[in-house]
Amino acid sequence: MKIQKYHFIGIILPFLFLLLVLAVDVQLFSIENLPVIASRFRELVFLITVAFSIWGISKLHWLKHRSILQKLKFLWAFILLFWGSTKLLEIIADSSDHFFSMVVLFFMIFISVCIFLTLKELIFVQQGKKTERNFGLLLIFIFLQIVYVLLDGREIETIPFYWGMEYAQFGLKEFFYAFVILFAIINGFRCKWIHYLNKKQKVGVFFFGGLTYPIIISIFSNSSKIVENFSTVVGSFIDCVLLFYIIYSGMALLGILFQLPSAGMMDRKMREIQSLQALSATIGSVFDTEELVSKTTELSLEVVGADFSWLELKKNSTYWLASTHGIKSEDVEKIPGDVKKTLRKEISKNDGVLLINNVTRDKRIKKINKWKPKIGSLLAVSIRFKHKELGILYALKRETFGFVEESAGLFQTFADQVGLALENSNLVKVTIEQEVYREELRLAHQAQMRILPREMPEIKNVDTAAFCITANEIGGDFYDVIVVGKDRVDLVVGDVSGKGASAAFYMAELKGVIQALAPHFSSPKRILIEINTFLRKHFEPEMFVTMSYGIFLPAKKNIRIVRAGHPPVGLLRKKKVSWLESPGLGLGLASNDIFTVSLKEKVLTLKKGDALFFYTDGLTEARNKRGEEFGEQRLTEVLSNIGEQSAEEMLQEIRQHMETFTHGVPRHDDVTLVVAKILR
Amino acid sequence: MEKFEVKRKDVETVSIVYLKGYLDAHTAPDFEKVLQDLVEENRVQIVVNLSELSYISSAGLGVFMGFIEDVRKKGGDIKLAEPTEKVFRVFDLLGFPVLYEVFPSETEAIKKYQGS
Repeated sequence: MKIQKYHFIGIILPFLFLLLVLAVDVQLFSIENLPVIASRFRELVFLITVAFSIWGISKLHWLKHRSILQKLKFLWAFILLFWGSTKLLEIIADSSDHFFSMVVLFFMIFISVCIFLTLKELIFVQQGKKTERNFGLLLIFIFLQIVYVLLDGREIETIPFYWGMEYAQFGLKEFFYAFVILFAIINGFRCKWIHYLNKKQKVGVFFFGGLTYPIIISIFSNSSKIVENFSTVVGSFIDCVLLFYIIYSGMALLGILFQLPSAGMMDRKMREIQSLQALSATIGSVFDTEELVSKTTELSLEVVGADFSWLELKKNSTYWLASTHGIKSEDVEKIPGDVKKTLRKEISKNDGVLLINNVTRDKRIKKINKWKPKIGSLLAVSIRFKHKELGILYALKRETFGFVEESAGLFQTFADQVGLALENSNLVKVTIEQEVYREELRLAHQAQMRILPREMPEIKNVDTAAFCITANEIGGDFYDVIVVGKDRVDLVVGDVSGKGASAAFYMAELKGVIQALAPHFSSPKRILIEINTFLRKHFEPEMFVTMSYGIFLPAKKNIRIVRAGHPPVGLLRKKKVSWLESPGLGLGLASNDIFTVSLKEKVLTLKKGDALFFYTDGLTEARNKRGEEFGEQRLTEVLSNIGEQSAEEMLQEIRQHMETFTHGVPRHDDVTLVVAKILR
Repeated sequence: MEKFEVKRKDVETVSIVYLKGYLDAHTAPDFEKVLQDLVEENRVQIVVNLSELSYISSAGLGVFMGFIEDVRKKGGDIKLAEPTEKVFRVFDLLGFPVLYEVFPSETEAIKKYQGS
C-alpha cells in the first residue's frame, strides 16, 4: 500500500512526535522540578499529535465502503483492543518501563481516534442537514476541553461518576465538559443505521453492543487515571471519546430495544417494497409471457413470504397452469377439480381476492387436505386488466395464520402490476404479428405490381396508357396489353371478385392463363369460353371474374370486343361518348352452355382521333365524403369534355377528376383504367 | 364500417330475406348465416327483398353464387325482388338476370313459387 499523504499525517507524524516526546522525557527524566513550561510544551505536542491523528486518519476513508455491520464490528474490536491496551499499560506502568508505556500510549491514542472516527461513520449514515454541524460542534468542544486542560495543567476528574456535591466543581473545564456531553447526546439521536438492520441483526447488535458496556465502563472508571500520569491532554481526550461512546451506544441500544417489537414488520415491509421494485423492473423489460409468469411466481414468494406459489392463465373460459414456484406443476394439477372451482368462485365473490388463514377449518376448501402438501394458509388474487380477468395468482404457506391482513391488499397491487405486464406482452406480440403481416402484404404488393405490364408496348399509330391502383396493398383488378404476332394487340381489363390476398392470387393465375390462351384463338369470345371453363374447374363457386377483352388489329383499325359482366368499354369519337354494352354473363358464374349463349361480340372500325376507355367498377363506384358514387354519368361527362391530348394525359385527367371527387376518402375497391388513342 | 341488416320472414313454404344497407365483404357473413340456416332447415323457396339494399359488392354477389347450386339441388330457388335502380344496374352488367329471376315486387316473386 503506497504511503499517502494522510498516512503520513495521521500515523507517521504523530509517531515521530511521540518519539520526540520520549526523547525529551528521557533527557529530562533525571531533572527534578521541571519548569512548568516544559510540561506545557510536552502536552502541546500531545495535543498536536491527537489533532493530526484525527485529521489524517479521517482522510484515509478506510471505513468508507464497509457495511454497517462491518463498521460495528470494527468498533467493538477497537473497544476490545483499547481495553487490552489499558490493562497492558497498567502492568507496564507498575514496572516503570517508560519506553514501552509510551508505545502503548501511542497505540491508545491511535485506537481512541479510531473509535471516535468509527462513531462518526455511524452518525453520518444517511446524514441530514445538521449532521455535519452537530458533529463539528462536538469536535470543537472536545478540543476546547483539552486545550483548557493543557492551559490549566490540572488533572481532570471523571466527574459524571462522582456527582456528590462535595466534588462538584463548576469551573471552565466543567463547562466545556458539559457541552461535550450535550453534543454527544445531540449526536446520539442520529442512529439511522439501525433501520438498515434486519430483525436478526438488530438482536445481535443489541447483545454485542450490550456486552461492550461493562468493558467500557470499567475502562472509564479506572484506567484513565493511569493515562493521565503520562499526559493530561491525552487522558482528557480519551475520557471524552469514551464518554461519547457510552452516551452514543447507550442511546443506540435503547433505540434498538424500542424497535425490536416492530422489527419483524419492518423487514416484511422492506421485502414487499423490494419485490414490487423487482417486478416493476421486470415489467419494463420482459415481453415474453413465459418469462413473465415465471418471474411472477418467483416474486410472489418474496412479496408475501409464501412457501409456494402458482399462476393460472385464463383463455376464453378455461384456466391453465402457467407457472409454479416452490412446488412441482404435477402436484398442483393433482388438486381436486371442485376445490379449484370453489376457490375461483370465492375469489370472484370476494372482489378478486381471497385470504384463508386457517385452511383446515375452512368448510369451503377443506377437501384440499386430501392433496399431498400440508397447507395452513392460502392467499389468492385475480389478475385483472381493465375489468377483464387474465388469470389467478395463488400463494400458500404451510403454517396457519401465515399471512397478515395487509398482505391481501399488497398481493392485489402486485397482481394488478402483473396484469398490466401481461397485457403489454400480448400487445407487443400482436404488434409484432401485425408488423410481420404488413411487411408480407407490402412484399405481395410489390410482387403484384411486377405482374402488371411494366410499360405499354409500342403499337404503330396507337397511343396507350394505363394505371391500376389497388385499394389495399394487394387486390383483384388487372389489365394487360398482349402483343400477338405482328398485327395484333389484345387489350384486357379484368376484376377478380373479392379483395386482398385470395383475389390477388387468382388474378395472377388468370393473367398467366390469358397470356397462354391468347395466341391460340383469334376470337375474343372463344378465349373467354376457355377462361370460363378454367374458372368453373379451378375457382370456388363464390368466385367470379368480370372482364372486357378486345382483339385489336391496328393495321385494319378493327377491334372485336366482348364484355363478360364487366362495365362497358367507352368510345370517344368527336367529343361524343358511346358505351359498348354488349350482353355477356360474368366468368365463372354459369356452365359453358349458358355462358356461350349469353356472350355476344361487338366489332368496331376505328377512325383517327378515336379513343377507347377500359375501366373497372372501382372507378365508377368511388365514393366521396357524402357517400355519393362517381357514377357512369359523371364519367361520361368527364370523357366528353376531355381535350385533345395524348393517352397518358387523358389518363391523368380522368384520375385527377376522380381524386378530386373522392378527396381524401380512402378507396374501397381497386381502380383500373386503360386508354388507347388512335393516332392515324 | 357501413351499416347492414338482414331479416327473415317465413310465409308458409316461402322464406323472405330482407337486406338493408351495404352488402360487402365485411357484412356478407351475416347474409351467409341466414341462407345457411334456411338451407339447413330445408326452407329452399327463398325470395330476397332488395328494396332497401343500397350497395352490393362482388363479395355480396358471391354469397348468392355460393348457395344457389345447393338450393336448386334441393328443388328450391333464390328469387330476387324489388332491386333499386343502382343495384339492378350492377346485376344487369354482370348478367345476373340470366341466372336469377328478378321481380319488381315481392308478391310477384312469392306467387311464382305458388304458381309452379
